Amino acid sequence: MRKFLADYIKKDGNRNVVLLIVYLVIQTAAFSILLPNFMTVSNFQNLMRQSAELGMVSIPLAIVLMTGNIDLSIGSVMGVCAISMARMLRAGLPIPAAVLFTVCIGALAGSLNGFCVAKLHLDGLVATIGTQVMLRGFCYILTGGRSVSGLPSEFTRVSKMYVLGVPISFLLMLAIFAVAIFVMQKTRIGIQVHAVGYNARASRFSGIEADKIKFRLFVMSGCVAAIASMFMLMRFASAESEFANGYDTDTLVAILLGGINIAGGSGNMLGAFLGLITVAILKNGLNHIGMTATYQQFIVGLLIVISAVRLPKKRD
Amino acid sequence: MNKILKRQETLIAIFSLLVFAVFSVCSDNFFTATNIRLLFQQYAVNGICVLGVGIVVILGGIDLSAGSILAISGALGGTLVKMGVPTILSILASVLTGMFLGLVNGTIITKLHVPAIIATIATNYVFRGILVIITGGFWVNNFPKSFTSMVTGRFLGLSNVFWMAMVFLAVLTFVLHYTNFGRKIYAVGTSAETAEKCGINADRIYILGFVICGAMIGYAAMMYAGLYGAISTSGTGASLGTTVLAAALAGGINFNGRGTLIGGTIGMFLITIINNGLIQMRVSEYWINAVTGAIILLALILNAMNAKNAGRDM
Amino acid sequence: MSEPVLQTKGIEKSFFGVQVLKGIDFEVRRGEIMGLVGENGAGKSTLMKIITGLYTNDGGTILFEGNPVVFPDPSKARDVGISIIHQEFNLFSQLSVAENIFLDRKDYRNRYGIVDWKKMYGDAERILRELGADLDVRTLVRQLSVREQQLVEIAKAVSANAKVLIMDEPSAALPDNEVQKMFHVVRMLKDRGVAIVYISHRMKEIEEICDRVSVLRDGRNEGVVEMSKGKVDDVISMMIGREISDYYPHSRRSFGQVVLRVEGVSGQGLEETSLEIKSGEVVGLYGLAGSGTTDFAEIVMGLSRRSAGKVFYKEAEVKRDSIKAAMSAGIAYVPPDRRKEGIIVMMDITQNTVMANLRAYEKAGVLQNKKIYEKVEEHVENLQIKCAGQSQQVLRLSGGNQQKVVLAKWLDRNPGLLILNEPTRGVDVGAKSEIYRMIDKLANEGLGILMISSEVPEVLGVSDRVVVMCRGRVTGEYVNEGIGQDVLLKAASSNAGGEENE
Repeated sequence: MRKFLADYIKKDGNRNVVLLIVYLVIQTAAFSILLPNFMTVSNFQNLMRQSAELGMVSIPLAIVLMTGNIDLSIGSVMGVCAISMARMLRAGLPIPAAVLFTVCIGALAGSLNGFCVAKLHLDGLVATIGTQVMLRGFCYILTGGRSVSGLPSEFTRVSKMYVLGVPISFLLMLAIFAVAIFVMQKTRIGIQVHAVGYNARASRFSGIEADKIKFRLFVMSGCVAAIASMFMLMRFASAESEFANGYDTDTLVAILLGGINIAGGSGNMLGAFLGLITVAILKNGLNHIGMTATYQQFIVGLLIVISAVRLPKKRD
Repeated sequence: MNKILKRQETLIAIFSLLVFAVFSVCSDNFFTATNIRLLFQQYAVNGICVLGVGIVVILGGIDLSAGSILAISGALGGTLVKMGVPTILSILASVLTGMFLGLVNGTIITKLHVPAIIATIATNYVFRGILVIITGGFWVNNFPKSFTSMVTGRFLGLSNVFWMAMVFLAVLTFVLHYTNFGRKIYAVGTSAETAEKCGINADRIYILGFVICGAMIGYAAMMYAGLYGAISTSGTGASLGTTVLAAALAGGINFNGRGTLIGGTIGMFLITIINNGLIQMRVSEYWINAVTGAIILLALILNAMNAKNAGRDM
Repeated sequence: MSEPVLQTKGIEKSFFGVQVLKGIDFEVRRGEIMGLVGENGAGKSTLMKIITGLYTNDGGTILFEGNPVVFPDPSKARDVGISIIHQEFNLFSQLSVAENIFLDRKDYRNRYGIVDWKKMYGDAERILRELGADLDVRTLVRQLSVREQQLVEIAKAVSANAKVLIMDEPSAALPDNEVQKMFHVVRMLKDRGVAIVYISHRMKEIEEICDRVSVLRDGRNEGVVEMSKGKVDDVISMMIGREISDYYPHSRRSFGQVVLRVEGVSGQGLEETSLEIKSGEVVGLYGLAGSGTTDFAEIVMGLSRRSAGKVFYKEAEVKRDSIKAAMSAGIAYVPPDRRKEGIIVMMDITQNTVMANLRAYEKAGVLQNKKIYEKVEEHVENLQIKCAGQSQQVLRLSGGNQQKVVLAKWLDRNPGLLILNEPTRGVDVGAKSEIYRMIDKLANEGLGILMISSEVPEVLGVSDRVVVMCRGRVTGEYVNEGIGQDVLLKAASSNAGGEENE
């Protein structure tokens, strides 16, 4: 067992997983001792609802990072999707049709990113900063500056639905995570994604079509952002122009904490999941203590730096 | 001639003039003395920041913590002004704070081997957090008139701050193009590895670039305080990092020792003109971001294409 | 005869316990062009890297003008007068010609750190004019041709008052008609008293320009030859040295149908090349750096664009320019740069082995891990890959075993044609002979094999037929029965039937 653990830690990307588990246990224990309201059913339901959407979008982003890319436009994609959805519902479109259209909008936004990165070969960072600003602009156009509310209750009600006390959105997030873990571990896509991230040239020389993979990942990212935005819309029951603004950084933070290397290749989905849970619990606990969002970000910021430090290896 | 035309700076400058002309024709309110004055003032603070961030990008780095640096430096300098410390000393304190925070960024990136984007996303949070913890999230405002009038004053009809930006542009352009240190910045940006082989201490140059960037932001922070009369410790500068980065990239600065601060300045003007013009044209305010975003994206694509084509003749 | 400017005595160096330099003595005199030759892996570039301070030696001394020296990095070597021009230039593409020559030099800035552009441009112009170069010193280096960039490198050395100039394969990247221009500059430096170390594989150039030649083999001195007409054969035999027949197993076998037929293919670095390979045949494709052999392989494999010509695999045309088309036809390619192109060092043996054949292990989209495990075990066994288990990171394998993993990856697809590009580069002697045995065995099993190599003995030892390329064209084709090594070397440095005039 000790040897297994030692080997596991040595494997690239797992160091953070182990550290995170330890940290997570300490953090949870500390909160439950210090905060009387922390270990309650209603708090956990809240926590799960809040982390569900973040969790969903962090899944494709984690994989995008593994290929050595980045997507900073997720928040804006979510904004456009949620506002479109809200307007469609207000216009009286049946819910299933609105859902379908919203996912299509997400896919379209994702393919715009994919086109810039995989076809025009732009730097992912540069391209998605561009789409981030542009799509946020669309958010303003779509809302006309007013908040879109008055959504049908059949729709908003979904956020209050539970299965065995667990919010539906959280279950869906777990399901997507499970699928992603399965795909990354059990299908060829997993190996190909890591290969592209570690060494794009060598993977091309093995017949792996990196551009195709990248394009599809961005489209996927757009679709998942669309789904996540709907759940967020249910929770808030209204959408305004700044909907989900800054979500891309929050997502990135959770994933980086999980030990996924921004340079591509290493890292795994379990790490991303743990990173997400850690951030969610941390923010929730700090909320109970009465810390504002800025305080929370301060602590999260410190955690990122600590988790990203790579001491130089000795050169041969 | 052909060479000049092909430069991104020229393209963006022509494009900016075109946009300027369109607005002048289409809107009665755009090409008026009042609005032109306003436009130069709107440009000024970001225009100082883009000089610093531009140097960082030329070096191959990125600084997404610019907004938080601005807020901290401004809050500190502003508080000093309110306490009655002479303006010059307060500005100096603000600049030094910016330099120190730049030093922190540069050190984390080079010595701890954290990629610049991660490091500055993180320090953006951390710096902001420290500020809010210290101040309790309050606004720093009600500056003495002696201070604000100095900043809001005009010279030759245009904002003093604009002229300051021009002075800095001239000084830094001189440093980049006519001093040994400046040429080493371009060298390290082109290839840190080659620079090391030539006996240049690349890490040192990189850190100094971040320190200069911090100094510019620290100065801009006091100008912001003077112009707008308040620093919100929790909100000021929230979108500064992205806007300034986009301006630098649009102006032809790229992560590999490409581009000039003049380009970055033109890029910042373009963004300011579009923002201002769309408002003057009474275009629904909500189109502004979308159009700005689309134009930035276009400029970025142009920049990346340029860089790629030029890379090919290597 | 004058004293040597630069001299090494008994230089030793080991990497990972493998000794690559076993006591090298080397010297070069003022105003002399000293050739340095040897096969790949003989230790030429390691020796030069030790002299210029990029590596530290384990034993031996370096004497410069009679005094022992040690340089912490190449810039210090440059400062005392030893400059090196690598195959990959050390230039800043975004800086001007003049700056690349004088960047960060004290003489070109005042005490406030302001650059003296007038002096810099003036001196740069003067140096380049002396070298006979007509360059605008204000242009950015990225806008220059390869030859012009080389001139900037030379000017850099001249400006540092180089007493010794080391040139590593200076003709490799130059077009044909510019080699003479480069020689002209080199001779001019020689006349000024600069000692020049000229490293090259091209015997014709060595013969033409060098005064003396030092030959290295397997990390040892093989001797120094005073060059004059006809001496080049001595150099070649010293370079190769060993008995070929023991080292290379070569079975007699009969060939089958044609597996690959390439008709008049052109593309980047390749002009109207045709080639045929039969099943069971090992064709050696020999050429020096820049001869187009790698371009040929990459075009056949669909890795780079084909502008004209046809490729047939077993009579069926491989139409599309894509690696997928070539792979599904049955062509496999082991690339020359193992770490950048062949393997993914951070991943394990299993993943690397199945990487090119993942679909074969899928069942309803799910990878059959047990099947993968068994198949990879089989490969590990067959190819005798020495490892701690198939989940070992490829990073931690020796060069030879890494190469076997690349081989396993392609054999896993059961190809009909295997292209091996420099299969023994950076591989120790033991693993080399294993790879040669493997090639022989695979050919006996009916594979067509194209082995690209720049090592003559290897080509002659393994191949049934040898094709020689130079400057993107086939310049010779021989059945491998008693052809001399000199024949190949000459064909490889020929000018494709006197097509020098453009």
